[in-house]
Amino acid sequence: MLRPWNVVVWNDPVNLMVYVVWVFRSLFGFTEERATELMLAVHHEGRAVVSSGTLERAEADCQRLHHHGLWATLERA
Amino acid sequence: VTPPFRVERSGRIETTLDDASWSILGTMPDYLAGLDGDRSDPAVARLYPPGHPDDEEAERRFRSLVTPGLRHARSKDLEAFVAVVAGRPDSLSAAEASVWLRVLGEARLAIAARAGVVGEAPDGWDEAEPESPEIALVHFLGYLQGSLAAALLGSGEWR
Repeated sequence: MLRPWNVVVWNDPVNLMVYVVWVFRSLFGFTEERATELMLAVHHEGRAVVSSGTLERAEADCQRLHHHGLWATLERA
Repeated sequence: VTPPFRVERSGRIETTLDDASWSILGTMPDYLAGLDGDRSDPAVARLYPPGHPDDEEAERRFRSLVTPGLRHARSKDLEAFVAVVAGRPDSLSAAEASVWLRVLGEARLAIAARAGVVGEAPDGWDEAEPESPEIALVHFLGYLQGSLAAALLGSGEWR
């Protein structure tokens, strides 16, 4: 499998929507539209997959999200 | 009302903060210092969440792999934040604004977690006392963080 691990961001009651959009744009280079779409998926559906890759890559992304205070976990794709 | 942060033509972020706001920003280390050991502290649990919540062995490996780097990055952020706040500058660079966003977010999460805000939105606030000074502070820091995030996104220099 090419992308065996997903990085999932979970909804939390504290982080602001505009802050989450900035984090997604800043960390992953998403367009405003894509970052907003993912933020709204987290907000309304409770979670969204924001990146995927090897375990090493996914854990690095998870660490960067934790550094920004987002509630992120890893799961097999 | 002038917003606390606005993007300038140059791409820098103009700050319009009163003395009380600068003083509050100066207290951030009170909330963020010593947040690296005790996992029974809800603030530590929230700021160092599990990466592999359903796999103990993978989680142990993940924790030992990422925690030192995360602590180091947070201590550098706080150090940089304190240095800038001490000068009460009229404007911030994009890099400084990024540090501020993380520190304000970290403080909000730590204070909210200790005040009993847990779980998922929107019910996560149910256990917290809405009139408490801690929750008022979480909202005030959110007002600053939201304004700064919007200004930075608008600056085109946000990376």
